[in-house]
This record gives sequence, structure tokens and C-alpha cells, in this order.
Amino acid sequence: MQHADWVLIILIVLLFYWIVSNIRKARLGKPLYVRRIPGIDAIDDAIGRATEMGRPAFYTIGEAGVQAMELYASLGILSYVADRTARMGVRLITTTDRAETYPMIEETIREAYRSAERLDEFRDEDVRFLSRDHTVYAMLTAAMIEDEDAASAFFLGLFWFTSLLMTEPGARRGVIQIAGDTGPSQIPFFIASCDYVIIGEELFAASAYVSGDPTIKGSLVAQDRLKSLLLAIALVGVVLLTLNAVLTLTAGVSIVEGNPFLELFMRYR
Amino acid sequence: MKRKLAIGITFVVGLYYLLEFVLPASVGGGFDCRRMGSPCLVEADDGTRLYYTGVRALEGSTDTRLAVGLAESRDGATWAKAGGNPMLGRSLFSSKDWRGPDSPAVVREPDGSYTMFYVGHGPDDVDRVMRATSGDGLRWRGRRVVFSLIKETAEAGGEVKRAAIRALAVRRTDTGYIAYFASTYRRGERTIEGVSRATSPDGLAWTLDKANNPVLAIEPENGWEYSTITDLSVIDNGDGLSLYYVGTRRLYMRGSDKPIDTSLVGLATSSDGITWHRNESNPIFGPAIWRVLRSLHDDPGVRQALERFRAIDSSVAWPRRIGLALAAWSGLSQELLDGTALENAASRLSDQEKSKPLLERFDALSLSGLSVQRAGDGSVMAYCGATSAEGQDHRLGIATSSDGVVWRTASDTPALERGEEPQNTYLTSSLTTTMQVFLVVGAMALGLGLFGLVRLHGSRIMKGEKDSVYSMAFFIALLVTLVFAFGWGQREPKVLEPGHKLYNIIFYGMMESFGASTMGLLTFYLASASYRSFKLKNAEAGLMMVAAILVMLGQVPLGQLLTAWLPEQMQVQNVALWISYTIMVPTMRAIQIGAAVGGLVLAMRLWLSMDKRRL
Repeated sequence: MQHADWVLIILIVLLFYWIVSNIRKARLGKPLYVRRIPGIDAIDDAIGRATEMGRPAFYTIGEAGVQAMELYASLGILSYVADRTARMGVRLITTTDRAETYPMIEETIREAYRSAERLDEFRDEDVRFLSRDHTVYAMLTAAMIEDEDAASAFFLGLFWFTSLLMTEPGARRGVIQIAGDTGPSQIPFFIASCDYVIIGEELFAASAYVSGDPTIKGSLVAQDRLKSLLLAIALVGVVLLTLNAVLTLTAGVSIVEGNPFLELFMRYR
Repeated sequence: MKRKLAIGITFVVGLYYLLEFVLPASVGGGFDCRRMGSPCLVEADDGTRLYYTGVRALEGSTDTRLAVGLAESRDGATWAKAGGNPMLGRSLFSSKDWRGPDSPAVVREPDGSYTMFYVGHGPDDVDRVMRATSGDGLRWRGRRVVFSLIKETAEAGGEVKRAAIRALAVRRTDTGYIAYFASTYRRGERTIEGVSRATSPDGLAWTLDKANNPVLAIEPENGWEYSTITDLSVIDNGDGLSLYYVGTRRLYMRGSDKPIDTSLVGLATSSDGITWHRNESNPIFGPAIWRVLRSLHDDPGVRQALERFRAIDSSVAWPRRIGLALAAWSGLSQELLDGTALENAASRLSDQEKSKPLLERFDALSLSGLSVQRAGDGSVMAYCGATSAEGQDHRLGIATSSDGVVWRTASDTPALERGEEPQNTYLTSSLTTTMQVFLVVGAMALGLGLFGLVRLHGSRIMKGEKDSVYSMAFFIALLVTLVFAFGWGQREPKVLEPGHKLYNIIFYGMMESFGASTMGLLTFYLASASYRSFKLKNAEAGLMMVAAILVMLGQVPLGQLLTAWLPEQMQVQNVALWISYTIMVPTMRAIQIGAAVGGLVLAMRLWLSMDKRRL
């Protein structure tokens, strides 16, 4: 097990400070700037379309297991989507590829229907375990979108090589599709076949974004600040590395050697 | 109440993991509590100094820390660790010796000051030779990189991480410094494996002896120096130079993933430091068990007994013969060999060799680093030995020799013991148990999921709903799989029982074939999705189309043919590489860094129960 060194401890403390200070600001009613994420803004439009057409909406968390952070991010968005569909009277069909996430998904949707005071409209059979096999799960997901004639589909969670198998049939049928994944490998396929794509950390930000809770939005601001800090470190690192390479090649001088702070910087670049 | 319980459990578990990450696995203890290695003997004004590498590996952690320690002796026999150890540890700032200094090679300067050269292991897993200086040999400063094998290896197209420097010995001469180092690196088509040489007038600017390296290549046909050379020491023997080196053969024992390094010491001599001749008596020194076996092998009585054993003839290498002798000695083959002769041979072993049970000696089974120094009429060797074959508990011992070839241990106890064991904080050591708890919880969740499915499909069948035939199919599939997987099908993989055959038909005959056929569908989906993406809907789509066409053309000979007339950097294969590595890789990294930060913040939200909707 790897242990934190002092640089990581400083970063963790800094993140704690930013989260706590921004929550405090939010609770005091101070305005917090939260960037807009087009893919999340489109969720309401997609549900609205399903409402107008009188057809169901479809949601999958992909292949995220209980140890994947993508599952918890996706459950937050699912809670929002279920709340909206319950209020709009739209049927929501959800699938999973894992037996252990089935009760979590079912309870999230049931709770959303309960808070919308539409618990009687919740149907057990609309939460389905399909298969643990990658390709079988993907094919059944695509088939379900077609068979149930879904008007909108959400693919938010963790996806592997079968992402295009799930999304392409819907794209051909004109289903409005919103997809999101934290890894870069499946993003190109989603971009090619979906209307909106939530890229990388936007998936984690999404549940805070849709919650409307100022406390949670405070954490989103902290997330952006940490990201800005890492971006700044990366930029300074690029400049230093380039300068060091140029000076070493032209003048045989290294600005890093012997400078403890720059050595430290280069270690984490 | 349930919610409060969930919040409480989440917080406690999260706090446990956070503390486990932030706090060390253990506190206190010596810098050399795990292992001692790479000794370096140096003549000082008031006796002899012994610099060595101390290894501290935190329990349950991959974080291994190295430091250079110092021991002193006035008579060369009794050694004591110096106060203020370690003398040179891991720098908070330096990136090149991130894991700490290793393999110290300390030389006395004409003005009495000390210069230490050592191997630094960076976070990039690349080895570099570094230098630090000291007026008194106790306080060191000015650490900096002086040379590495990165450039050589990179120019030869080799992987820089494979450019290993395992050990270092430096001699001070009138004109500067000569370094001998055990290494593996690429030069051109050749892999340089063995002892290499570099020279420097000032200890800062070094020149590799490219014409002669390696000056001593490993000789796999020797058997005992089959894999690598792991440590070395160079001394002036009066007529020239003597190079003592540790040859290692890595063995992978059947049924064990852990390799065992068998190491023995060899000697080579040279008049110019470039051309080396191996001593005919090689190997000349080894761990305690090797020394006893060697004694047995040289004993005439044992030889006579071995010759009676028909399987042993002159073509059998002596290590195998002494292996058989060991078997006989321990009573395994008494009926084949003349036991009396072997017993007599064993009784002729020196009292010192018999004073302690062989396998309990500190250097019983493994030997690693060494350092040799001339002392009076003879030589003294500091070496590291371990009781286990895996060599995880090395301690320092002393051996002496009058001729530099035949060595005797000064004592069967170590000259220096490892440092105190650190105090366990129990957080890291309890991690495995905690993970097992989560496995149990995961299994419960699996059972819960199965229960939900059975309840749902069972209720459908009971109610006689329209599609209940599919629910029946679920139960049939569940039962069939359970019976074949848990029952009489899986007991013996090599015996295909009827159940196993059916199991194979279901999974490999049907499931995998169906899966493979659906992947064929993916090809057509890729084509249609690409076609849609490449439509010139807007500027971004146009940019993507141009980039994609360039990358595709860069992969095929046609693209190279079409752009052959352009300057090299503008040819399509180079443009494609530029797009892939300069544009695409940073973008992917940016997404991954952003996702990592987002995941961290979400984890904190969950831990602090800020996002209560999920509980």
C-alpha cells in the first residue's frame, strides 16, 4: 500500500480547506460561481421530449461495480432523472450488469418516486439485471431501447469496449442520447453516436450540479480550484522543462540541478 | 436511525482509509531495520570506516527507503555504528535519488576530505550515479548527478528504465577518478552486461570507456555468474588491481513465485584495469552452506565416495556433485554412498564451522554486497549475508585472507546487527482484514441481488403474467449453471466429466461464440458512426475530420507515398505521430487528471455524508 508523502498531505489539507471554506460561504448565502455543463442542462430537455412523445426514458450506469466511483456519481444523476420522470409521469427503464448494484439502483429510483409522491407508479420490472457478460449486456441494452421505443436514453457511468454497441442503434432511431464516462477511451464513440457527452470529471460534478444544494455546490467550487492548481503546476512544469532542456543543450547549464525547490517540482511534474 | 447508522459507518471507514494513507505504516526503528547491503570500507585517520546501505521497508507497503549508514572500527574486528546515523538519507527535495542513496563508494581525497559516489534510484525507475562531499565523512552536502546510462541506452533505442546500475566502486588516482560499476544497458545492437568502467578528472564530468566496456562481461557458462553481477570492489594488490565481484544466478523454484538469488564471489585481476583475468579458483567465497559444501568437495574421502557412485562421472559439474554429497551427508543416500567417508569428512571441518548449526548462521544461504581492503599483510572483506535464500535479512560480516583468494570468516556471528524494528501503527497491517470484511459485504450484496431477481421472477410466475415464460427461463438457466458449476462438473479440470462438458458447451461453445459474433457487428457500427461524425456540420466536425484523415493516412503506405515529396517533418506519417502524441496524449491525460480530482471530491462528499440522497 502506497502512503502519502508530505506533498500529497499538503494537497489533501488544501482540498479540505477549500471544501469547508466554500461550504461555509454557501451557507452564508454568498454567491458561488459554478460553470455550466451543457450535457447536464440537456437532461431536462431529454426528459421533456419523452414526456411530449409519451414514450419511456432509458438509463444505464454501464458496467460500474460497487467499488467504482462512477457508480456513486451516476446514482446521484439517476436520482435527479428519476425525480423528474416521476413528476412528469414518464416511465423510466434502468438496467445493470451486476447483481450487487441492482438493489442500490432500485432503492435510488424508489426513493425518488417516493419524494415525488408517485410511489404507486414505480414498477419493479423497470429495473432490470441483464447479464454480467460485456457483449450480452450491450446487445440487450440496445435491444431494450428499440423494443421499448425509448424517446431518450442516458448512458452515464463506466463503459468499456461495448459502448458503441449500446448507443449506435439508438442514434439510428433518432433517440436523444446523453452519455458520460470518466475514462478517455470510450469518449470518442459517445461523441460519434450521442447528442451530448459529459466528459471526464463532469460526471462527478454532475450530481452536485443537479442537486441544487448550495453545500454540495461548494464542493464543486473546491474541485475546480484544485483542478486549476494542478493545471497551473502543469503549465509551470512545461515552461521549466522546456527552459531547462534549451539551456542544457545550448549553454550546458541546468536550472534544476542543485535547486531544491525546482528538483521537488520536477519530481511531481 | 438506519440513515444515522449508514452515515456513521461511512465516516468511520472513510477515516480509517484516510489515516492509513496519510500516516506511516510504522514509526521509529532503525534506518537499516530491514536489510544491510553494499558495504564500502575506507581507511580513516583513527581506524577503518564502513559505509553501507541501510534498507527500511515499511510493513505492508511498497515504499522502500534507502539510506547510507556508517560503522567504525579501530582493530578491524569490532565494529560499532556511528552516532547520527544515517549519514545520508532520502532528500525531501531531490528527485534523482527519490528512494534514497544506494551502493556508496567513498574515497579519501588528498586533503583528507571525503567524496561519496552513490547510485540514486529516481521515481522514474532510472538509476543515476550521484556525488556528495564531506569534510569529515559525517555531514554530507552538494548531492548532484554526475553520470547515468540514459543517453547511451536511449541513443541505442533501448528502454531507459532497463539501464540499470547495480553497484559502484570508485578508485582515486593521481589524475582523477576511475569508476567500476555493475550494469546492464544497451549500446547499438549489443547489451552491455557486466562490469563497466568510466573515468573522470574531477569527479563531476565522466567519460564512459566505450571502447572496452564491459571490461568484465558476465560468463553465463560459469553457472554461478549466470544472471548478473550485483556488487563489486576494486583494490590495489601490489602487482595490479584485484576485482572482487558477486555473481548471481536467479533461480525460480517450482511451485514458488519468489525467485531465489544464489550469489557467490569471484576474483579477477588486471594490470591496467581494462583487461581482466578470472582467477582459476573461482568462485572463491560464498554463503556458509556453500563454504561447507566446498570443504566437503575438496575432501579426498568425499571424492572417493562420490566416485563410487556410478551416476557421478567427470562430466558432472561440481555444484551438482556437492549437491549429491549434501544429500549423502544428510543421510538421504546412505545406501548408495560410503557414509563413513562422508562422516569422516564432516568431522574434519573446523571447529568454527561446526560451532553453530549451519542453517542458523547469519550468512547461511545468501550473500550480497562486499567490500575488500588491504590490511597489513593480508586483506579484509566486509560482506552481507542472510539466513534465508530469499535474502531479506542481510547483516554485515567480516572475512579475512592472507592471499586474497582463500577467505575465512572472522566469526560466525555478524559484525553488525540490523537496526531496531519499528513500531507498527496497525493501520496498514489490518488493511487485509478490512478488505476481507468488504469482500463479505460484497458477497452479501450479490446474494441480495440474486434474492431480488428470484423474488421478481418468482412473483411473475406465481401471478401467471404474460411474459412469465422468460422468468421460467431465468430459473432454468440459474439452476443449470449452479449444478454444472458447483456440482459434479468442476472438480478435476483434466477429467472431463459429463457436467464439465455441458458447462464448457454453455460457456465456451455458446456464450463466447455469441459474444464474438456481436463484436463483428461493432465493425459496421464503427463505420456508420464515423460517417455521421465526419459530416461537415460545423467547424469542430471539420477539424476532427481533417485530423482523422491525416492519422488514417499516416498508418498506411499510400499516405507516405503521397507525401514523400514534402520535407520529412511535414510527411503524413510524422504529422500523424504529432497529432497522436502532442495533441491526443495531453488531452487524455487532462481528462484523467480531471476525473481523478472529481473522484476525490465525490469521495469526500460521500465520506462527509454531504450527499445524503445516496444514503
